[in-house]
Formats: sequence, C-alpha cells, structure tokens
Amino acid sequence: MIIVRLLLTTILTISAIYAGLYLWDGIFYDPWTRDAHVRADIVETAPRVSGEITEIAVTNNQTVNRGDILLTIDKTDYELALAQANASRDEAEAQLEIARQQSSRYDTLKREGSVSVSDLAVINADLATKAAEASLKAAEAAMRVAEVNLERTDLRSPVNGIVANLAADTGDFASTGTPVIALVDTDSFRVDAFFLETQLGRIRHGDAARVRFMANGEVVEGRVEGIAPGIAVMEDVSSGLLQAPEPSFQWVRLAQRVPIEIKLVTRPKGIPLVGGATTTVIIEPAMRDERPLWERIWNRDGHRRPLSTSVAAGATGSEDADDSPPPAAAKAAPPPGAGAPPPEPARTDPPEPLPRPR
Amino acid sequence: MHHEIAFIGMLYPSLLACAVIAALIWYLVDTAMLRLGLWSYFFHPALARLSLYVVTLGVVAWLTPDF
Repeated sequence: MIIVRLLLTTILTISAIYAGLYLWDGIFYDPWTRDAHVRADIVETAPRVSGEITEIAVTNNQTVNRGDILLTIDKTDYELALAQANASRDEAEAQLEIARQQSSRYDTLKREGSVSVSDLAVINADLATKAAEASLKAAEAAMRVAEVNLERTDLRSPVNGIVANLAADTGDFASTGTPVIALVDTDSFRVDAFFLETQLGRIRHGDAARVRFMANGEVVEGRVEGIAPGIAVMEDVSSGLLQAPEPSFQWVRLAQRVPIEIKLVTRPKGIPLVGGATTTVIIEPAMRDERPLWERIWNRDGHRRPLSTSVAAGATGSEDADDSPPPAAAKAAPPPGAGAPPPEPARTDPPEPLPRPR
Repeated sequence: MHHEIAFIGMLYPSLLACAVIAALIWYLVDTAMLRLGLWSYFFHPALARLSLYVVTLGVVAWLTPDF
C-alpha cells in the first residue's frame, strides 16, 4: 500500500514539474510577444522656399501619391524674381553684343592697318567680350535658380502616403526647411516587436511570423527582417565621461526587451494599418525543436541554431552551435533550472554521437 | 497559451483564462476525489492536490490554441 501511495504521488509530482516547466518555457522562451506595434516612416515635408501659403491642396488623412502637390506658396515674389532674372539675362546678352561689336570693330580696323587702334585696345576688347560672356552665363544660372524657386512654391509629396494631422492652414507663413505637413509613408508599414532577450535564441532573420492585430483580431503573415543591434541600458545612467552603474541593483532583474523588425507579407483586410497600433506576434522558428518533451525540458539549450547572419551575439549568452541530439554526457548535466550546462569534453564529439547507454 | 483575452476592456494573457479554467476543472476533480476518498491513495495528499492543479493548468494551456 505504501508503495502505491509513494508511486502515485511521485508520478503526479513529476508530471506537475514537467507541466510547470512547459508553462514557463511557453511564456518566457517561446518567441512570442504582446509588446509589438505597427510602425511607419513619418515624412516631415518642408518647403524649399519661404512664403505665405496660398493654397493647401490636400485634406487631413488624404492619400497622396509621390509627386502630388501638397500646398502652394505665394508665387508673387518668385514670379517677380524670375522676371528680374530674365531682365538681367537680357541685359547681359545686350552687354555681350556690345562687347562683341566693339571687339570685331577693333579687329577690322587693325586688319585694315589703322594706326589709331593700339594692340592694347584690341586685347582689352577681347577680354571685355569674355567678361560679358561670363556675365551672361551667371545671369542664365540666376534665371534658372529663379525658375526652380518658382517651381518649388508647389510643395510636392516625396512619398506615397497619407497626410497625418494636417495643421497648416492657408495664410500660414512657411519657412524654408521648417516641416509643415507630416506624411505617413504607406509603403513603409512594418511591425516593431519587442522580445525578451531570453527569447532571442529562438529568433532568426527570415523566420516566419504571425501578427495578430488587437483592433479586430485579424492574423496576417510576416517575416523577421532584422534584429536591433543595440538598445539603451536602463541601469547605465552615466552622463559624463565615466560610467555610472545603478548602485541599487543587487538581486532582482528583468530581461531587456530587444526590438525585432517584422515585415508584413500580407496586409490586413478588415482594418486600415495605423502607425502605433498594437499587435501580438508569434514567431515560428524555421527549425522546429522535434525532440520529445522530456528531452527538451532536460536540455533546454540543445536545440539552439547557429546564427546564420552577421548579427552580433550579444544578449543571448551562450551561442554554442549544437543542433545534434545532446551527447550522452549531457545526461549528467545539472537540472534544467540551472541554465546552460557547463562545457564538457563530449561537446566536441562529432555530430553523430555514439548510441547512448541505456 | 500564446493568445490574449479581453475582459471589461482590458487585455490579459490567455494564461490567465487558462488558470481560471484549470481552477474550475481542478475544483470539480478534487471535490470528487475527496468525496470518494481517493486522495488517501497518495502519500502526501496536499502535494498531490497541488500537483494535480499544475498538471491541469499545463494540459489546459497545451490545449488552448495559439492564434
């Protein structure tokens, strides 16, 4: 009777330990996160010329294509500047004509043997022609500048996007280089997912991902496009030349969250993509851990894949390339709660280990 | 397990729902076993009852689909 009682209790307790580890792994090691958001490039369009806004061609939240006119700046000044530049060019042309005539007259007189024309006068006339040519070129360039400035009074959209939070109004003064209209680049929608660093070992560039939108529960396909190469460390509050580690840090610590960029392979059908919208992300590792549950729990680092990209091995700690079944010696590894097993000679074995002793 | 549930406007990890469901199942099973006196077949009934809850939670979480 006591044997039965002991046996039943032991079986149930071991099952409970396995169930607990399964739950723990599912929450803290499986690559999934509820901390993910849609992200898009925000283009802050600014006019290249200053002036009063005479017309705004878009409304708030309007979709625009690359090259569409967003707003128009008062053209008066720039039309006048162009007229002035035109006149300057005409003047320079006339000056050049005068200089050429002078020069050719001197040349003719000189050829005919006139003594009233000195060599110096001929050379001076030639040089004056060249100067007038240069002036004409400068005037033409100035005219081109005036033309371009006039074109730039029409502010055009640099991207395909949507006008966001339109605050500019007709009559506002727009200054060169000061953003007036923000555009959300609709070609750049992606998901920024913050994963615990303990989950990074199971995430690789190119892995398939599923993105669930909080808005309507729609699930779309995604793909891991990149892993952030760095984040700010909260414990380092240094502002000067010396480091200033947080002195209060002793026992409890939390895993950092690392941004992973996820490209949306398909777009949601039921909701518009909104920058900042909340999503949940599950990443499906390309190489699944096919070992039985007890082995997975026993040797938790055994399935880790080598980093295939040039992403630096930072927060994930041990990056041992160990895709083969755990060698026999790993059976002597510490219990699963103790983290990565210490390096052992058996780890250098060839990929196909000997049949392990039963 | 990797899901999310909304309750009165707040969103929780679905593990919380799993825990509640597991608690209900465990309560029923535990009551039945108490009535039938089956816990006396265990060496340490308190430990066994706790273990039963954890196992129930694990099974419920395993059965709960991901999205």
